[in-house]
This record gives sequence, C-alpha cells and structure tokens, in this order.
Amino acid sequence: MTGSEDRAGARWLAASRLVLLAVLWRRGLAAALVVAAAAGIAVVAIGPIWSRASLESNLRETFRTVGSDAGLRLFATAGPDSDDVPVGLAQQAWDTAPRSLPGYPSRIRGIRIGVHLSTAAAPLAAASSALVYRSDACRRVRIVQGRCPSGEDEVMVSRDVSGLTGYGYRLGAEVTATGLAEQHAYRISGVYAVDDPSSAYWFGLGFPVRSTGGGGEPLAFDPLIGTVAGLQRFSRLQPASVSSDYLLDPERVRLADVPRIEAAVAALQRRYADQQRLRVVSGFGPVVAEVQRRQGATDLGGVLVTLQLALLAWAVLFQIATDAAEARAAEVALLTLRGATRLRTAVFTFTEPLVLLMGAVPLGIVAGWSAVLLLAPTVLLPGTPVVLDAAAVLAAVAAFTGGAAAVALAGRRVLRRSVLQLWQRTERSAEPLRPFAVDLAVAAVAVAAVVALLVAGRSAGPVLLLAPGLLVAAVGLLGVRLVPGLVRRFVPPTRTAASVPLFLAVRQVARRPAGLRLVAVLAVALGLASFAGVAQGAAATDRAARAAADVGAPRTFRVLDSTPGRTIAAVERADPEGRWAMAATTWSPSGGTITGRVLAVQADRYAAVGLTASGGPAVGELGRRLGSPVDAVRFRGDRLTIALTATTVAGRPVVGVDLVDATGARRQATAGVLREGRRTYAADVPCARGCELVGLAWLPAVDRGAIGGDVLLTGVEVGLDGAASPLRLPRAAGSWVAAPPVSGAVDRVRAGREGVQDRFRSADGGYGGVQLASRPLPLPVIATASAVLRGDVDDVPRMEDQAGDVVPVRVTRFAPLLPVVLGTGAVVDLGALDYRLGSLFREVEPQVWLGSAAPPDALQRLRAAGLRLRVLDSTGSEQARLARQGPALSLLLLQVCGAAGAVLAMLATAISISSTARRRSYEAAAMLALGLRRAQVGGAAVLEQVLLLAAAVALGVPAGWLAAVVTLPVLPRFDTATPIALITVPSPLPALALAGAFLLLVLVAALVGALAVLRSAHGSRLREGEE
Amino acid sequence: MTDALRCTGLGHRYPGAESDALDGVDLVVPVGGAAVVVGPSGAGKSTLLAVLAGLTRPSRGRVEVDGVDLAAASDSALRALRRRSLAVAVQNPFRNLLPYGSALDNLRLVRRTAGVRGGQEPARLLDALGLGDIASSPVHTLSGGERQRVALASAVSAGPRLLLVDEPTSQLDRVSRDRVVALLQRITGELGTAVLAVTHDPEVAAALGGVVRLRDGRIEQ
Repeated sequence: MTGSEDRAGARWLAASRLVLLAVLWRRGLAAALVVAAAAGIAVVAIGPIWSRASLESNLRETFRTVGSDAGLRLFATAGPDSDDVPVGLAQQAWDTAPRSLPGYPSRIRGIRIGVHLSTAAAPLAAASSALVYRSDACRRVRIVQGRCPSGEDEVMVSRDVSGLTGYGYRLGAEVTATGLAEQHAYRISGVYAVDDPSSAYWFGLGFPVRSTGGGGEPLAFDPLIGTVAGLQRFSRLQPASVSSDYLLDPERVRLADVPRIEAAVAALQRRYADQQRLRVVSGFGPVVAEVQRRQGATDLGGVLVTLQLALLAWAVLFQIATDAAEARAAEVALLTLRGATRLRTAVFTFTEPLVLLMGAVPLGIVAGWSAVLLLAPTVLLPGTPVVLDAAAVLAAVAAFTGGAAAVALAGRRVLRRSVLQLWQRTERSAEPLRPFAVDLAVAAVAVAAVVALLVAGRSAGPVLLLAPGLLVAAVGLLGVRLVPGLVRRFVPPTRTAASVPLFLAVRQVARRPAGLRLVAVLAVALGLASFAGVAQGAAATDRAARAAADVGAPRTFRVLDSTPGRTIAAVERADPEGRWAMAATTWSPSGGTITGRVLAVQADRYAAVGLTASGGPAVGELGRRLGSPVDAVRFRGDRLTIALTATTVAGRPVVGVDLVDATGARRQATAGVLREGRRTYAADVPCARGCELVGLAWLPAVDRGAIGGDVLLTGVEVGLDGAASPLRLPRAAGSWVAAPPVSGAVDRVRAGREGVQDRFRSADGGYGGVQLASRPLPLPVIATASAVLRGDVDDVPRMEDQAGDVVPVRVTRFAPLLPVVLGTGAVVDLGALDYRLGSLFREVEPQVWLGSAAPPDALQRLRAAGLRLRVLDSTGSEQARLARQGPALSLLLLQVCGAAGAVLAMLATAISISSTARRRSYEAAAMLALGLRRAQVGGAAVLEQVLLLAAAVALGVPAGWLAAVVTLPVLPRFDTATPIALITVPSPLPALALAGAFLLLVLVAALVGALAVLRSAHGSRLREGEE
Repeated sequence: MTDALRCTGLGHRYPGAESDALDGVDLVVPVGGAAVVVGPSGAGKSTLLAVLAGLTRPSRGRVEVDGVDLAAASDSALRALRRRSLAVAVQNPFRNLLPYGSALDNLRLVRRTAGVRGGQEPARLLDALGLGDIASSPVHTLSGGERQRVALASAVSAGPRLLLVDEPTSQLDRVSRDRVVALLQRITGELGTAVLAVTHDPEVAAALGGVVRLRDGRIEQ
C-alpha cells in the first residue's frame, strides 16, 4: 500500500468516525430519521411484497378451485380427427408419457371404452355407458357394497345404477358390455359411490353421470369401473380413449414454480407436436393468465395505496430531515466559517443523513416483510409464502431515492443560508407555510377526481381511486390554513382573560405558521387512516352481507347418499323444534316458465336458519309466503280408519290414502272400494315411526273406466298396536284442496264444520282426490322478475323437471333479489317441491343449512339422525374468500398503512416538538425570568401543542369520513358484481374511535413536548440568546 | 511585506437601519502583530468582526486581508481566504468546534478543510500549545476554558495569517482567562499569526496591546 493510499484510508476512517460520533451525538434525532425512513421504505416495500403474497394466495386458491382445469392430460390419438386409439396401445402410450412433471407429482392412467350394458334381468334395456379404468380409482370412490374389482372379469357399478329397480345391476350379478364388435361378461364385485363428482381426480370427464335420462327410462349409466386386464379383454382394435392425466398439486406449487411448469408443459407440447400419437392438453397457462389478470386490479390498488402512503411518509421524512438539518446548522456554519468549499460542505451536510437512510433500507425492507408476514395469515390462505423478491428491493431502493431527495431538499435550505443566518435561531419560523398555489392545485385535482369518480360510477378506473386521498389532502392542507386566522380571533379575548397559559398558547399558534406544516401532514395522515378505517368498516359489513346472500345461512353442508325427502325427515328428527337446522337444495328446472336457479328451503324453518339477502325480502317474510297456513297433519300408527259418507258413486273408485313416511318417501295405501252411504274404510299404513297425511285419492277401478261421486270425509282414526284415537283434521275453509288432477279428473272440494266434501269425476283411468293445503298447489313461489318468463303475480307459471313432470306454481311475490339465487331465480318450499316432482331427487343434491342458533353438537345430532354431511360453505369462509379479492386487499393495505402513517406522523410531531424544545426554551426562559410560574409556562406549552395537534385531528378525521361518504358508493369492494344492496353511507364509528385514540396520543405528545421545553428553559439560555 | 489586515474608510449600514453600524473605520494589523478592539455594547464590534471575517459585505470602504479585497472578492475567493489565511473564533466555543469530536478531530477537520498536508501536525500543535493532555477528549466534556483554548488551537491549526477572535474570555474564570490570553500571546509570538481580538475585558486588551476603541461605529483616537 502506498503512502497516499495510507493517508486516504486514514482520512476515510477519520471521516467515518466523525459521522459515527455525530450520529451518537444526535441519537434521538438520528433514531427518528431512521425510523421515519424505515417506515417510508417499509410502506413502499409492502406493496410488492403484499402483491406477491396475494398472488401466491390467489394462485393457490384458484388451483384448488379449478381442480383438473389446471391439470395436464396426454391423450393417445390415432390421428388429427380421432381421440380414440386401439385399446391395445394403452400400455405403449403410458410408457411414452412421463411419470411426473414439475408441479405434477403423479399421473393417473386411464382407459375408457364406450359400451352398451345389459343384464340377465333386463337383456333388452341396453343403456350406453363406459367401461373405465383409472389408476387409484378404488381409493377415490366409496365402496358401499362388495369390494374393489381385482380380476379381469370384475367390475364395480355405481350405487345409482345398482339401485335401479328391474335392471339387475346388483352385487354379484353378471353384466354384459358390448363394444364395437364384441361383448364380454363381467361380474359385479362392488358397488361404488362418488361423494364428490367434481373432484379433480375425475379430470372433468363428465362421470359419474346421473344415471337416467328423460322420461324416467335409463339412457346412460354411470361408468363401470374395472381393471386394466379387464378392459384389455377387448381385442386390440377396440377403440378406446387412453390418457395419462396429471393433477396439479396446488399446495406445492408456488409462484416461482410457474415459469418452470409452463416451460415443462410447453416442452411437452413441442415434443409431441409432430408425432400425432399423443396430444397434450393443459389449462395451466390460461388459469395462471386469468389469475394474473385478476391480480392486476390488486396490484394497481396496491400501487395507488403505496403511492399515497409513500407521499405521506415522504412528507414526514422531509419534516424530520428538516429538523435534522437544522440541528446541524451550527456545524455547517463552522465548516463555512473555516472556508470549506460548497462541495465539501454539501458532502459534510448530507453524509450523516444519507448514512442513516442507507441503514434504514434493510430495516425498512425487513419491517415491510414482517408486516406482510403478520398480515397475511389474517386474510390470505393459510400457509401463503411471503417472499421478498427483487421488486420489493427495487421499491425499497426507489423509496431510498425519494428519502435522499427529501434529505437533499431539507439540507439545501440549510446550505443556502449564510453563516450569520445559520447562527440565528428563529430562521424557520419566518418561512412561509407553503405556497397557496400548491394547496389550490391539490384541491382542484381532488375535486376533479371526485367528480370524475362520481360520473364514472362503478366503471371508474382504478386511478380515480386516488380521489379519497386527494380529497383528504385538500381538506387537510386548506383547513390548516384557516387555523391561524381562526385562532387569531381568540387573541384579544384571551389577552384580557385570567388564564395566562391560554393567552400565550393562542398567541403562539396565531403567529407561528411553521408549526402548522406538521399539522398539515398529521391531518392528511389522520384523514387517510380515517378514510381507510371507515371504508374498511363498510367493506367488512358489505362482505358479511354478500356472504349471507351468497351462502344463505351461516353454515351449509352437502348431504351424501340422501334425497330431499329423507333429508327433511332427518332434519326434523335432529331439530324437532325447527330452531337451527333446515333442509335445502338448489335446482335448475329443465323447462317451464321459471328460469334461473331455484332455491328450495323448508319454509317453516327458514326464518330461524336462513340469512336475508341485503336488498331483498327478509327470510321471515319468505318463509311466511312460501309456507302454508295449514299445519301438516302428522301421526304415528299402523292403521288408518277413514269415515266417509258417499251420496252418489259412479264406477268402482278405490279409496287411497296418500302419505309421506318418516324417511320422506311418498306412500299410498288403499282402503277398499268406495260405496254409497256412511261407511268406514281401513288401510294398513307403514307409519309406526311417523307419517304425514297428505290426502285421500279416488283411484280408478281395475277396468280404468269412468268414476265419480259425491263424498264427505267426516273423520279419521289412527290405530297403533290395537288402540285407536281420532286424528285431528283441519276443517276451515281452504284447508283442503283438490289433489293434482290426473288425466282430466275434476274435484270440487269444500271444507266445513261437517267435514270435507268432494264432488269428483274422471274418465279413462284419470283420478283425483282431496289434499290438505299443507302442501299447497299451485306451489307458492317468490321469484325475481327476470326469472319469470312471462306473466305476473296473477298468472300461473310452471316448473318442469328432467323427467317431464310439471308442477304449477304461483308467484306470490316478486323480489329484487333472493338469497343464493340472487338476481335471477326463485325460492320455493322444498318439501312441497319434492312431493310434487317425484324425480327431483335425481337432479339435486340435498343440503343441510345450520342457523346461528345451532348447538355445538348440531353435526352429531344430524349424523345421529342418519345424515352423511360434507362441508359445503359458510358465511365465514365466504367472507374470507371475499376478503382475499383485490379491492378488499387494497383497502386492507390502505387501512394498515394508513394507521401506520398516522402513528408515524404523530411520532414525527413528537420528535419535532422535542427538537424545537431548545428553540422554544429561550422564550420559556424569558417568561420564567419575567416572573411567570413554571406551571403557567408549562401549561402554555401544553395548550399550544394541544391546539395544534387537536386541529390536525379535527381536520383529518372528518375529512377521512367525508372522503368515504363521497366515494364509497362507487368504490369497488369486490372483484365481481353483486346485486345486493351495499352500504352507501358509512358508519362514522371507526372515524370516531380513531379520533378518540389520537386525541389521547395528542395529549401525551403535548405533555412530553411541554416537559421538554420546561426542562430546557434554564437561565443560561438567556445569555446564549443575546449572541 | 503585506499587512495581515488593512481596512480603510470601512463603513456598513444594515438594510433598513437609520444609522451606520460602522463608519470610516481605518485599521491595520501587521503580520504577526496583534490588535484589540474594545468598546461598549452596540459600538459595532460584532459587525466589524463579521465584516473583517468576510461574513458580511461592507457597505463602503476597503478591507484587505492578506492582500485580498473582501468587498470585491467572490464568494469562493472568500472561502479560499478563510481556508488559507483567515481564521475566526467566535464567542460560543460550540460554534468553533464539533462538540462530539475530540480536540484532535477538530484540528484535523480544519486542516483537511484547508487542504493542509505539511506544517505542524495537530497532536504536536496541541502539545505545543499546552493542550496535549486533553487532545483526545470529546469537546463537550471539556471545561469552558479548555473549550476556548481548543477553539483557538483549532482556528490556527491550518496556519492562517490572521486570527479574528470575538470575546475570547467571556464567561471564563480568572485562571482560564489567563490561560487563554497566554495562548493568544503564543499564537502571535510563536506561530506568527496576527490576532485581532474584540473584547470587553480590559485585562485582555492590556495583555495583547494595540488597543483600538470603537464607539458608535467609529474608531476613537
């Protein structure tokens, strides 16, 4: 090392030592600068870190939701026009395909051969189906009978197929599968059920399919699941779909893996592009692209939030940097006095704050990362990785650059002053507050942004979301200008008042505009925090409202292996009083005049269990309008004795009794041929565990000839174990109605004190009867206007199922929106719908809804009642999902950063008060010398700070609320539109809570500041002040 | 040989003031010589010192320090002059020193600022001026007298031709005052730096000699 290098090193060391000593000398201010800079850097770094984390969360959630859509499938193909290959090539195709791929840890090998099935019991009823092999299938289905097929002649059939009466697909039976040119016999070794047909494992292949087509005749069966060897019993030329399916593992795929997976998929596609033997299909790319497109809104929101908070942090940092520069004024003067060049003086001035800023960069990055780490588990998916990437570091560097600019601006003001000016202490207070033009410009831009936002409405671009921040800034900046003038009016009255501290404080605020700079920053910070708090409060309420409307009840469950009727019966056993559980389902009619989805609920339980959709009718009203004024007639017994008086009878009608048993199944019992005169008719009924009496039917005779009569029902007795008791029947007018007519039957029903009279007639095998109005017909329906194809309340629309059964409905009320079905759909009573549409159970999946009053053991009770339940949804999880959407994430970021910004601004205020304490101590010392008591001087200092800081609270908090009131109606809260009524006038409570909290902080800051002034106000200050 | 300081017909009036703060001041301090300006409060002593230090431009007259006309010199020329030839020590020692640095740190800072490589090393200079035992102590831990002496040592560490000193002994006890005066005498005598001191203290004036009385901005003959 040369001598000059030695000297340079020594100089560098000496300079570094001086910087370190200076930092230690001003450690309070240095710490404040570091904290402010770190906070600013953290605020800026949070944006990309949060964006990345939310993208990770969204990606994972989307992968979970889309299931096999993000998977990868390799088809063996015979050519461009054929997806089928000879089944003999299956092994070769599998061998060609890789066993795993990045992101796709395993594969499912599959073969599907289209066949027609027949059994010995129904040799002519050949339904189309498929013979399927999928690796690992036996672990993916639930085997309800028998076992998994293991031999080449064994297959499993679905429970639906097995349950078809008359087709013979029972355990152990032989089934014949006919392929293109050959047929093979298989023995049914097991019966399977698929609890989740939408599971990604099935790869969206459309099976299991519901087992019947229209008209009640089976057209297509769920597939038979067999072994590889079993499928390869067909000749090699049998066409088959052969695939290797790769399921994405959403829990193991991270954002960083996406390029690798995309590259692997692309490489695979390139590899097989020319071969025409394997075709690669993957939705991975489109799924990722869609996630990234949605993420754009979150990112932009995050950028806007970050931008606002970064500006605020910058203003705070500038304030602290200015104080720090002022604290170095004497040293800058010394260097100038010693003749240092401008460059050297600048280097000397900026080295210390820049070193502190550099130290703040890692702290800020870590703080931002830690903040996201703490925040992520509260809204993002559990286990979402929080990654520090290059974007975050770049953002931090940008924030550092901004901080350096703040330091440069603050330092420039010191550098431009002469030595004599630097020695003067009152320099800063002589400076103007801020050019008025700046405030006017901010106000003009704010007004323009608000107007543009209101005009554009919900279609406003995200950039207009800066409007709240601008509005808050405008109110804060302009409002602060009014403070001195307002306070000045109180100078004369306080001058003559007894309170010296009050006079001194008022006078100080009135004549010192410099202190108001910080008040402006604090007002804007509080305004942003207030806006964010109010908006977040409204958004949280809206999320709860939307979740309630989307889900329908606090918790919902899918019911496996059940029908609507059985589910209703089980629910009534588990919750006999109807306080917390309800059976429900959603259904899409195949025809009729009601379009959209239909929500079917238990009308009598809906008010207790369901949740009202905001903007729609209350669930209580829905329940009342859907239900019947007539209670169902329920009994337990094994025999019914019916008393009838027939005045005329034509033909030989048979008395039928319509029932619904304890399992929810429809039952009909017969009680003999109807004859003239007063007689009793007895029927054995399977109702030892309970039944509901639906009504009586006059069934046609065996010869299907015409029947008719005039009959009066006078009473019914229930027999149980030999004992008989009368059944209480409603007799009020309207409590009985005509049964749905079959083949033109006509019933004229009238209920009265003497009984229920029916004058009936029918021909050609038609029949009618009387029914209790507890299952009203036409079915009462509440629908949205868009769901009814034509007609209005007075018309009688209808709904039709896949089997062609039709139920007439009566729209009792039109609603703007309804739970679950929202803007287009209808709500009906589940029991009534199920009773009227006998095939409904084939088209719907029953659900159980639990209300807020559900006991802790609700699920055990339901399971004890015989229900197999799977979690479907809950308002809690729906709210969590909604909270993970872009707008919510941006609002949350704004709330967290806004609160942090407000605290930071308050911290800066406290620091500024402390750093000005020395300056103020000269005045305080003079006042003490003039004979004022310390309490009076201290009181004046406290009051002055309280006046300034309370002005910030008084300006900022209402400004934030105002911004929320103005902009909330058009602020996006969800990624997707919802017809529910959202909050337009937010609650001021969050703003009031914020104001209260900050007023407390204000008091503490004012006390600290006053103490600092008093502590510094000793006599020697007066002598120093003479210089 | 050029005088360390020569001012002729020096006058200064602050903007908005009704009378001159300085009026027709003629003053010469030869190289290695000393002069003391005394006078009551408001006589213009501080203004005179600010003008002589190049911190305030005179309204009229001519001031030459080491041959440079301060009234005509550019800002950078004034800075260069203060680096090379002109040192100032003001009344408040903390305005002459970095409070967190040691005496050595302060002397080194001044030398680095002036770009001085040779000459007397700071440590040796402190030893020579009898301040070797406090050379490494942080300035803020020193007594008032020690601070003042370190401030003077720091001011002359780059070897200026002229040292301007404002109230060097105010707020000091007698012992400290004597040491400061002795130090000023050594600065003129041993270092060859001319000294112009402004003071209220007649004993300081007597010790340094060359007293000039200032009243209402004018030199009293």
